[in-house]
Order: sequence, then structure tokens, then C-alpha cells
Amino acid sequence: MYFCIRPVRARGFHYVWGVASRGLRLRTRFGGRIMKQRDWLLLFAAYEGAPDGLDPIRFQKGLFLFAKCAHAPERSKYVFKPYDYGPMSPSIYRDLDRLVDEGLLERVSVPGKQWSRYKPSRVTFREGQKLLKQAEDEKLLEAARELFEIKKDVSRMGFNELLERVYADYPEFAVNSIFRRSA
Amino acid sequence: MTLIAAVRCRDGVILGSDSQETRGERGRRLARSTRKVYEPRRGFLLAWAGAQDVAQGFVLRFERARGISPNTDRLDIKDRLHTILDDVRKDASVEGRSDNVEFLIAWWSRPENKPVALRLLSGGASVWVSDWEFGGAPLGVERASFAVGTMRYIDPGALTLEQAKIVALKMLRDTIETGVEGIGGRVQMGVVRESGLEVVEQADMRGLQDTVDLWESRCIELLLGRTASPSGSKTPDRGVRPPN
Repeated sequence: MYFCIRPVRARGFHYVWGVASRGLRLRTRFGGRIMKQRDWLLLFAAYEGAPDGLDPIRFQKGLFLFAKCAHAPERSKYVFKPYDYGPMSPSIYRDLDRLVDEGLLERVSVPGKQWSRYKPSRVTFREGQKLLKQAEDEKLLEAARELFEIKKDVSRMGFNELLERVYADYPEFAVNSIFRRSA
Repeated sequence: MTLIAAVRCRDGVILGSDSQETRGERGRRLARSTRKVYEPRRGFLLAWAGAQDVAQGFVLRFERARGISPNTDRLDIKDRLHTILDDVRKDASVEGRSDNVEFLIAWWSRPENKPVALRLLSGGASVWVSDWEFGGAPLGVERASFAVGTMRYIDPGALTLEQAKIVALKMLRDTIETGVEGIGGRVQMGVVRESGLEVVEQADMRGLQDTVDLWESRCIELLLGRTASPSGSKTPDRGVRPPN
């Protein structure tokens, strides 16, 4: 049998070292790897305010409000689209599933509902502490504080209040909402 | 058996179903998941209930039939569909199983420039869908009619397609939750609108499911005022907080 093997182009030591060290510099500049979207999602879950966990709507709204914060770094923001219940990011659903699969969150079924609550565990809190340290290293403590305030707000509000607030402040994300605004 | 449903709203038609296929004799029945809502040919959305092999025979003939398109007069389409179903029923291999097969077929009628949906029954009858229409297991149809009855204050003709999706999903899942034999699994859904057809994928169904849950939660708040919020939990809070 004949295999056509494409020859690997030889790379010099300096080229390889250059690529590797650039990646290394990028990773270590902020004291570890850079905080990603899902790290902020996990931090949101780890914050105090909802010991029994949150429903997916509050995660969606919380991370949306965070994306609108002045100190939130661009790379940490989920991309939202106007949906049936206002701003929604499919990536949040995907990341919540992954966090559950990795044992960083617990999925708790809610009687009478199809959705589950995502509950933090001891592992979540431990990871949350690490992420806070990382945020400090990356000089993102202000963003972390903003996220904390958002968590407190969305955990305190009822659904009507939460949706009305988001629709009022960001009407461009309410255009596809199936719920008509009361005012 | 199964449950299939159609609803006509302001700007389209929605077809929905459960996803459980049941085989075997009473007491030895096996259930598995199957697709019941799909696009058999360009411009047409179909949901089936009854014996799967009979439904497949119908769909294969429908796929291959010439001269059927959304541009065709809807009465001609109806006649063609009846002819196809009659042909399927003549097949000796499906004899005895072809008496209880039903279809919901929806398309955007170009000559009339409006969405239409037809409920086609194996006995030779058919019904145009005006608002809600159901097919499948009799007890399931009864429960689904009851579920719609509890929402009779909602006129489907006044709803947008997205709103109607939510109402249809609520009706289907409420019916599935009653545990009628032969009905179960996830809800499947497809929509017909002027711009085309869409079979709603499971990933998108998740957002719809959350919207129904949110709708119900908002109803509760409307009645009871604000309900218990997550921050009001009595569970000790061991969450983290950022340094001041």
C-alpha cells in the first residue's frame, strides 16, 4: 500500500522557541491562564446570595448585565441575542452543562419545572476563591465586585421585576420577547 | 400510539408531537424515541401518529409524488394526499395496521398566501386546521383538548408564531406529564411561516422550555405577588465574596 506523506517542514529552534515563549508569556502575564467567559460564570455561581442555586434565567440575565458593566473585560463577555425572554446566550447553556459535567456545579431538579437549578458546592466555592485571586492578579477586582453586586440583585428580585428591569434598560434586547411589557 | 398537534396562529402554523414510539403487545410493550415531525419534501411539514411502517410508506410516496408544491391549489393537494394514503392502505403487508394512522401536514399556500394545515385520517376523512387540531391516542387527544381548554382565554389566532410556540409547548408537555400510555419523551416541534419551514432542534427547545417555565413563574407572581427569591433561602450561605 502506498501512503503519500506530506513532508513536515523543518522549523528552526528559534521559531519553535518564539512561538512557545509567546504563548507562555500570554498565559503567565496575569499569574496563570487568562480568565475566560466561563470563569466569570463559575464565579457568579460561587458568590454568596443564592445558596440553593439559581435557575437558568437568572444566570442568563446576570451574565447579560455583567456584559454591560464598565469594568467587564471584552473577552469575558458572552454574546447575547434578543430572544423569547429577552437577552439570551446559547453559550451559557453550554457552559452550565460543562460545569455540571466537570463536577463544579450541581444540577437540582425543580418540582413542576423543566428547568433545573444550578447549585454551588464546596468545589464551586473553592474554585471561586481561586478565581477571585486570579481576578486580583489580572487587576479585574472591580469587575469581580460588579459581578457580585449583580448576583445579589438577580437573587433578590422576582422574575417580573428582573425582566421589567432588563427590558426597560435594554429595550433593544426585548424586541423578540413574547412577554408584552406592562408599561 | 402518539400525540400530534397543530395550531394555527397569526402568522404561521405549528406542528408538535411527543417523541415516544411504542411497540409490542399489551403488557410487553417497549418504548423508544423516534422523530415524528419533519419536512418530507420542500415546503411541507408533517407529523405522524400510528403504525410507523404505514407512516413511512405514506411519507415515501409523498416524497416521490410529482407535481405537489406549495404553489398547487390546496384542494388539489388534499386530493393527492388522500390518493397517496389510499395507495398505501392497499399494500397487503400493512393490512390491519393501516386503520389507525393519522397525519398533520402543514405548508404555506402560495395561491392563498396563508398558512394551511390538514389533518388526514386513514378512514378517508380530513379536516382543515382552523385553530387547534390533535391526532393520535384517543386518551392523549382528550387530555390535550383539556389542556387547551384550560387556556381557552388565549385566542391562537391573535398570537405571534413565537408566542404560539410557547402555548403549544405548554399544552404538549402538560399532556405528556399526565402519563397517558404510549405518549412520552421530549416534545418535537416544527413551524411553517411565510419565509419557510423550520424543524426546531433540541438545543433550541431548551430555550423554549425555559420560556414556558418563566411564563408559569410569572403567573405565580401575578397571583401571589413576589414569591420566595433565591436570596431568601434558609440554607447557610457559604458563597464567596470579593474583598472590599
